[in-house]
Formats: sequence, structure tokens, C-alpha cells
Amino acid sequence: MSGVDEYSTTPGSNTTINSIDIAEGCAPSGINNAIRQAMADTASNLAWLEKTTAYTAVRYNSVLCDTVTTGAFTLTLPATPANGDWVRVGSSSSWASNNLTIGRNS
Amino acid sequence: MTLSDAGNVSYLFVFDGTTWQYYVTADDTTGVITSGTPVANDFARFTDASTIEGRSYAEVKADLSLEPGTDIQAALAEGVFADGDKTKLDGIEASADVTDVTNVTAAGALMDSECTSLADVKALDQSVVTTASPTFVQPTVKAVIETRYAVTGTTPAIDPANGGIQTWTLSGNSTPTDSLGDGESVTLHIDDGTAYTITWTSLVGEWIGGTAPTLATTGYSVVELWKVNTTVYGAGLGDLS
Repeated sequence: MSGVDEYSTTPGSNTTINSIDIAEGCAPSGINNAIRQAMADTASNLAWLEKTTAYTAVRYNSVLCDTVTTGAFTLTLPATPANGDWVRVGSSSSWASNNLTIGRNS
Repeated sequence: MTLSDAGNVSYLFVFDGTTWQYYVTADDTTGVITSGTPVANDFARFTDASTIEGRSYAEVKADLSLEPGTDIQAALAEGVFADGDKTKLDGIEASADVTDVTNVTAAGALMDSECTSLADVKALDQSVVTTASPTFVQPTVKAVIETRYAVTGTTPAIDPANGGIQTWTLSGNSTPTDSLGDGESVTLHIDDGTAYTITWTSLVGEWIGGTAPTLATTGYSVVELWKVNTTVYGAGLGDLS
């Protein structure tokens, strides 16, 4: 797993964090790395991602879209979302001149 | 979808199991995104999916382009509708027609078309109900059916109002009295009972031939009485076997 979007709501299904083994009987040396990775994933999920070019969001992304710097682009929403998944889209610049296109996938 | 906001806005896309729904939120330091310079009491109008502008009353009128008297009902000179007016209108049947024969007749009124001689009906100037005494100058009457009345007692008031033909079987010696009006007449069929007699002086002022008729001992004696001014005249017409 490489981010919060890949975490499972079923505890037993979370056996790795960004390839760090946290399965039953895992090496103790990996636990501190796993905690740090989980904290980083959480922080990344809460932070706004700055985008100036086309981007395909994953669930729980918060994306600041800047269409002034490099021009208009498309932000694509997840293609296979689950019920309740969300994506935040914010403006870090005006979209009036260079419009932001949302690829809704549904 | 294409977003063209001028900034200070964010969208929250949420997948509802079927499609990505979205909610628009404004920057909390900016509040509602507006265009122009809205003032208090302005009306709000969306200029795009996420921007609102203020519109004055005059501007709203122009936006709606509703002209009283053309697009909407203008207030009448006598005022606007008041409570109860609609109820009154609801009480009027569709295509109500006050000249409709069925409606007029049902309401108890008389239609002109129902009158054989409309002018005569409208010229009627006296009562013709059962208890009235109308006056007709020269009526043509094909038949008169008199009411037959049985006189009783020994001091009856002879009154043509009871009937034009009156029968009387004496129950004792009798003294009838006058209840005739000027110009009225009555025909009496009198059975003397068991040889009773009549004293006419309270009724008849003058007899044709000078004397009252002698009552038959069997069957009826027929007497005609009529009044001229204040005098009742009498005539014995004969006896019936």
C-alpha cells in the first residue's frame, strides 16, 4: 500500500504499509517504519496537492488546481469509486481564463 | 464539466454509488461569491453555477419582464380580490346562463316562453288566487260549477261565499239572517223537515209576488235570493218532488 486511499477498513486486511510488512509475525524492526509511513500517509491525505497539469485523483485527495501557470487542464476523478469516496478540488488561481475540466468518469 | 470560477471556491465531489455528486463551498473568508455590488434588500440571482449577484426590485421586474395588465392581472379599479370572492365564484356553475330555462325554472321563476299570452300576464293588476275576489269587466265563462253547501241550524247566516247552491233541511222552526253582499245571489233548496217553518224577515226584504213561498211538505222547495244595494229580494221558483 502506498497511501490512505489503499488502506482497508478491515484491520486484518492491512498487511503492509507502502510495502512495509506489518502482517502477524512481522519483523519488529519494521514497526517503527510502518508507524512513520502511516503518519506520512495521513498527513499527505490531509494536505492539498498542488497541480498545474492533468492529474488523475485517487479517493480522499484534496487537489488545488492552478490553471494560470501552465494553462487549462483536466482533473480526472477515480474511475472505479466506491460509495462514499470523495475528492476535494480547490482553486489556487482563477479558472476564469483557463478553465478547469473535471473528468467525472460517471 | 468545466469550471470557470474566479477563485475562492472549492468543490467536494462525493460518489453516491452511481455518480459523482458535487457540492460547492466558498472560501470562508469571502462568504458567498457575488458579482456586482449587492446591497441590503436586493434579490439574489445566479449568474453561473456558483456566483450570485444582487438585483434591485426594479431590476427584478425587468428580469421577469412581467407587465401588469399584460402578463399578470393588474389591480382592478374597484380593488383586488378579497377573501370570500373566490368562494363566490366557485359557487357559479360552469357556463352559467341566467337565461337557461332549466335553471330559471328550477329556481322557481317564470320564463316568458312559458306564458301563452305574455302581455296579458304582465298586465295582470289584481290577485287571482283562490281566496281573492278579482273583478273582470266582461268575462266569457263557458261553465260555472257552483259549490254546493249544506245549511245547518235554525238561525243560519245565508252567505253566498259558502256556495252558490245551498241545501237546507230544517231541524226546527228557523230564522235565517242576511250575509249577502250587494249584487250577490244564492239558490236555496229547502226541505221543511217535520213541517217546520221559516221566518224570513231577518233575511228577505221583498218577495216577488209580495209573499214568501209556502214550503212543500215533501221534497224541496227552491228559493232564489239576490241583493240589490241593501235589500235582499226573494223568489220562490217552485217545488221538487
